[in-house]
Formats: sequence, structure tokens, C-alpha cells
Amino acid sequence: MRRSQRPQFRAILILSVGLARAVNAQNNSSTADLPAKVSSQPGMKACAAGTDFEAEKYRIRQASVEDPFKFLYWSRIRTQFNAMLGNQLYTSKLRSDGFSLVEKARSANSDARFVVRFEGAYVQNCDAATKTLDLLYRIYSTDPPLTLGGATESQAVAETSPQTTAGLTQGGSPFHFTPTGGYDRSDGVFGGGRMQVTPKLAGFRLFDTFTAQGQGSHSMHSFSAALSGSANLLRPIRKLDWRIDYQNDLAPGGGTSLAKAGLSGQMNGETQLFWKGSTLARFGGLLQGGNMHSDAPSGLLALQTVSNAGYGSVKGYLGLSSRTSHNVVSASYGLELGSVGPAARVDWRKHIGDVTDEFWIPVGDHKPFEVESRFTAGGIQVPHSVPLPVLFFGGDGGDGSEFFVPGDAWQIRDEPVIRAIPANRLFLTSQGIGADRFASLNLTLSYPVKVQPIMPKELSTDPEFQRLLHGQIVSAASVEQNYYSWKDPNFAAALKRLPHLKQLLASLLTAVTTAQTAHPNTLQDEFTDCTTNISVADFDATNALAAKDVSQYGNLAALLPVDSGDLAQVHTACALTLNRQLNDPGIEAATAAVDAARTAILNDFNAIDQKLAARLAASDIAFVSRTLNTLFRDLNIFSIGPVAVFDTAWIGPAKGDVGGNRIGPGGGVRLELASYVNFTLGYAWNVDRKPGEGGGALFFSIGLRDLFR
Amino acid sequence: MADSPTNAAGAAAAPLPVALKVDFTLTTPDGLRKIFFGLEKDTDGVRVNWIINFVLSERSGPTKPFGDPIVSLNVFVATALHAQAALAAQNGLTPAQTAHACGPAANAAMAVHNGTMPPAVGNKIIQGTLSEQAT
Repeated sequence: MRRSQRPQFRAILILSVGLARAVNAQNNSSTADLPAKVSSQPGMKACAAGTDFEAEKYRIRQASVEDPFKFLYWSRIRTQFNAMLGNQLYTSKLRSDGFSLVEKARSANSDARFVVRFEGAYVQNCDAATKTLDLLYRIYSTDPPLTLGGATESQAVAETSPQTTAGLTQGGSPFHFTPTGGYDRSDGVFGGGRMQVTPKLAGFRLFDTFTAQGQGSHSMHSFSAALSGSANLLRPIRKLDWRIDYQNDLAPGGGTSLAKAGLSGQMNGETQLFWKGSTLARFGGLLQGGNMHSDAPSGLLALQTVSNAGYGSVKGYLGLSSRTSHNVVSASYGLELGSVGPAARVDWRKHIGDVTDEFWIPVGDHKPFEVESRFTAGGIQVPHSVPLPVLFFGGDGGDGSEFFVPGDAWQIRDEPVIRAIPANRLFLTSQGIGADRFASLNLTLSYPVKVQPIMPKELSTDPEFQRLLHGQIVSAASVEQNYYSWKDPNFAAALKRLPHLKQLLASLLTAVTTAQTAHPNTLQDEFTDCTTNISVADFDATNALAAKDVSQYGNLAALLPVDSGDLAQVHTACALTLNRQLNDPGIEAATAAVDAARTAILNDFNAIDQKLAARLAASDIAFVSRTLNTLFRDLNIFSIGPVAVFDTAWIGPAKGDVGGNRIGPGGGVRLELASYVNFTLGYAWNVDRKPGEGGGALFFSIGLRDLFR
Repeated sequence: MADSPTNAAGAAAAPLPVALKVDFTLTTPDGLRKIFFGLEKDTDGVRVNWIINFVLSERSGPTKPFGDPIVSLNVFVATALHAQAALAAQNGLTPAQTAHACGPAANAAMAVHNGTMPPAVGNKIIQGTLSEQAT
């Protein structure tokens, strides 16, 4: 369904024109003051309100920018910015030019559906003796991506890379490189990185991103290279993305090594939001083929398990994700049908269920107490045979290999995770190495003790700023509501009556003109008023019929209000004012016909389900409001605090000390310096340790900033 | 007196705001049009002006870059309309206001521009946008 948006800009244009015309007739200034709720600067001199800094020829001693995402563009414009503003005479034009330079450099994602922005310019450190001042720009904006509907992956991105959520990642270099690293007792110290290239080449439309990432240590490596693309669509599917991926992994596990190499192609889809804009559905499919290899002795393998095999598999997966103000939850189910070798049969079936939830409540300003929980369960049915690496190996996850499908957009975990046991070391079952069923529950509780919010408290709690921001969202919702009202079948019914109404207005005009000819020099003002109102009504009816988009709604609506609508004015001017004195039977009959037509149109118009239109509009805008609330009220540029973890994992089949349940409580510290580094360091104890298992494990992960930004 | 020194205790002096801008940008679902609408509260000496910024950009395909704007307006808001402009800025435009602006006001502006409607009539219709009732 293609919809026209022309009325949106026409609305804004005409409002602007109307206000501009009013300016010509009236003074354009007042003495109201701007809010002054901004943070103080130690050691700075005050600047007095009411000073005309431009007229008094103040010079800018120093200009600066405060922007949480300044690091994205500052190096590119610093020289130009300083040259433009430094030691220059202060003028409002120069101030605006400074704004423009920064706005252009921020280079927001041009495809963002909805962008909101706040900008403030301030003067400080004013010195009357030297006629100098400092100029400060404060800029905060967000253009939340269309796909920020409610998936837990989106919340993770918002926390670790808020500039992505704010829609500012499209600027700057098309090359991005992010070092990664970590430690696990199985893998040892490992390091690597992720390179992403967004070429934006004309004619290269199927794929728009190339990603290569890898990590390695003395005992493991993982590497993947992928081409991916995506398209934003109209309802009901709002986004499709596709990916071709090559993966090559080697990891220790089960006392041996597990190797996988393969090529896959996948496509995922995401629906529009539903259930009051809180929920979306996702679905996808993947086709994969390659080789799996292990060094495990055959005596340790379960029946029907092979250590080396070529394979092919098909995966299908679907899920629901929901986001409310302080909770994000995703539930996913995946099914894999696999075959060993080129055989056209199903040798194994893998089922995965994964539910993850993140809940947070503010305890102090920008200090959310967070509870992350994840429950995952899986099972494998083996009608014929299955390669060993397909089976479940549990332990500390985090190396990126524990997901059902590749890519970051949708992460369905498919192995038991318990941080108290090194990666892939929970594997022994009553049938051999590798489990064919598992369930795990992971809880992480965290609370930042030291934070630096993205949005300064002075601004996020400024009631005027809140009102202004809210006003922009309301305007957008109003435009959306009119669109849905215009699509209502009752509006179409009302519109169909307009040609007949135009005929009746023409008949009335003829009757009035005839009467005026018969009564020259009589009631001239009344005749003029009547014919003018007929013309205005005909003007709006004609435009409503001529338009092909949502502007029809406004034109028709203008005809109808009881006290001020075009047709009510016709009735007043022609029937009540003119003809009450003239008593012309032709005018009386014609006005009665117009009144009847108006009543019929009004009945159809009033039948439009405005509540439904308002609800649909609210749903469209809801994701914007939620994302803004999260960015402004909860997220931090910097935070540090303790974490507590609790894991339990069960693998089977179990018998005695092999397989069964493990419990791992622990704790540590988490530091997030958004876009620069984030890491979690901690230790978890293996409370119910079995023979051959350690007493616990250190877990550590680190992510560094994109070096090319 | 344009400035004053920090106080004896070295307490901080708050920066003085001289401009405040709030705006939103809408990109149409087909990706072909981008509409920017902003409200700017701007000091000019001792006075305050409300200014509406409006920019419209178009492109021929969703993968092509937006070129220079085809419409770019900075409009001073009359003093008499400051209260209503402030209300529109703070509360947003109602559906009735946006409907009026999309329909009759847009047509009136074009008609006045084309010389087919007297400016006084057009002005009355256009300014009616701000006086539309909330729905």
C-alpha cells in the first residue's frame, strides 16, 4: 500500500506561509526570555540577559561544542569550526553558520524515518572590558532507526553503541574496524576484530555491507566474512534483510577440537509493530552447507554420531519481540533439518527455543537497576546420523559461536551457557561426548554506581524542553491520524457525494444570480456575501475532488463544521440573511437542497472511526517515543558498577555424575564507555562440580571503539 | 552592564542561552521526500523571535542522495501569534490543524500565488490553521 506524504509538507508549508503573512502586518518581537536552565561553568564570568552582544560588538574568544556524539565528527570539522568562529565578531548569522557546520558534519542517516533534534546556543564568560565572550553549542538529536521496534538485540545496541540508536553511525568513513578480545580458560586469551565496509556504490544495490570478523588464540579461531543487504518496506512487512556468509570455526570441546566450515545464505523479515505498537514478529530461513570435523575417538561418540562429515542443512526460525517502557523481551523458535553428505534425506532435526528478557528500573538519576535473564532449551532427534559439532557443548559463551544463525540482528542462542564452566567443557553425557538435549537459565543483575548520562540532567528535566520535544511528536501523530481517517471507507462515501454537492451549489448560484437580476440595487451586500460563500464552498469541494492524496481530507472537512464550515456559512448568508428578506422561492429550494446534501455528507464524515485512526497513529509513533525515553532517561555515555550472575544449565541424557545439572553463581564489575570500550570482568563458581570439572571460571570480555570513525 | 564577575566564592556563572531550536524531520515511507520542520526561539538583543524553519527535499530514487532542498523557508512569527505559535510548539499541531493546513490553507496559498484569490481571503484561510479546534 503506497501512501502519499505530500500533505505533510504542504501542511507545514502553509502553516509557515500563514505565519509569515501575519508578520508583515505586525511587530515581530517580544521581550520573553529563553529558559536558562543550563549547567554552570566553574570560573566563568556571567553574561547578563538583555545584552545585545551583536550591537555592542562583542568578539568570540572561544567557541565549543557539547554533544554526546561529538567524537563521530569533531576531528573532521575542528579546524574549520575554529577558523570560522574563533576571534570573530559575534553576530547571529555567524552563530547560525556555526550551527550549520556542526549539523552538516553530524550527517544524520538520510533514510531515517523520524528525526528529532534539540540545539541550544549559549554565551558565557562575558568580559565587558575586552568585549569578548565564549560561545557554546549544545546539540542533542536522535533519528532512531526504523527497525528499533522492540528486539532485545536493539536494546543491547542502545547500551553499547548509543550513537547507532541515535542514528549517527552513517556519517564519516565507510570503513569501520573494531578490535575485540577476551579470556576464557578453554580458549585462553583471544583477540581479533571486526571490519565493516559500507561502500554505497551505485549499482551495488543487492548488498550494501561487507563484514569480516575473526578472533583467535592458541587453541581456537573463528572467522566469518559476509555480504549483506536490507530493504525497508511498506506494511505489513517493514524490513527484509539478506546475507551470504562464510564461516570457519575451530574450538576446543569435549576433550578434542570441533571444527566447522560452511557457506550459508539467509533471509530474515520483520513485521510492522502491533498490539499498541509494542510487539513485532520476525521470521527467517537459512540454507547452509559445508564440512564439520573433530578429532574425537569413535569410542567416545554416541551411537549415530560421526566425527567428520560434509553436511547440508535448512533452518527456519520465527519469533516475537516486545518492548515496553522498561522491559524488552524476545522469544524465538528455530528448527534445523540436516543431512550428512549429499543425501536428500533428513539425518537430524534440531529444535531450539530461546527466551530472553531485559528489565530495568531507575534507581536514582540515570542509574537503572537491570535484570537480564535468558532461558534456552534445545533437543536433537537423530533418525540416521549427526556430526559431532552439531551436538550441544555447554559452558561460558561469548565467543560468538553460540548462536543458531549468523549475524547480529537476530541472535538465537543454541547451546547451554554457564559462566562457571569454561567454554565447551560441559559436554559429557551418559551416551558419550556432546549432549542431545539441554536447558539453561542465565541471570545477570547490574547497577551502575557511577554514570555520565547521554542527556544532561539540566536538559532532560527542563520542562520546556520536554514540552517542545513532545510537541514535535504530537504533530507527527496528527499527520498520521489524518492519513488513517482519509483511508476510512466512510470518508470515501462522503467524497462520492461531492459531485452532486457541486451541482447543487451551481444551482444555488444560478438562483441567486437570477434573483439579483430581478431585484437590481437591492440587498447588494447580502447578495455579495451569499455568492462569495458559495464560491468558497465550491472552491473547497473542487479541490477535494481534484486532489489524489490526504489533502482531500482537509478540504472536505472544511465544508462541514456546524458553526464555521463553508456550507454552514452558505446557509447563513443565503438562507437566513439574504432570503429571509428577499423571500425568493428559487433560493429557498436551492438552499434546502444544499442543506440536505450537507447533512448526508456530514453523516458519512461523522461515521469515520476517529478513535481507530488515533490508535493506529499512536502505534506508528510509539516506537519513537519509547526510544527517545530510553535515550534521554536511561542511557549513559559512561557507567561502571557491580554485576551479579546466576546460571544453571542441564544437559542430557544424564546418568550419575555425567550430564545433569550445574549451578554457577558469581559476580564482577561492568564498565561501559559507550563507543570507546565496554568490558565485563567476573568470576563464577561451579557449585555442584563433578569429577574432572573446575571449581569455577573467570569470565572477561572487552570491546573497543571503531578505530576508523 | 553586559557581564558580571564571578562571585567571591568562585561560584559558577550559568551560560546565557541565546538560541533554542527544536525540530523534527520526517522521511516519507517511499523514501523520496524529506520534510524538516523546526521552531526556533532566538534572542536578538533584548528581544525574542519565534522563527519557523521549513525545508523540503526530494530525490528520484530511494537509494539516491537528497540534493539541495527544493523549498527552504525561515519565517518570523508575528508577536500576536507568539502565544499560539508557542502553543503549537509545545503541544504540537492537532489533527484538525494539520488537516486544515494540508487542505484549504495549502490551496489558498497556491491560489493567492497564482492570482486567483484575493490576498485578504487567502490570509484569512491560512491563518485559520492556528485557530482550528483541537480534536
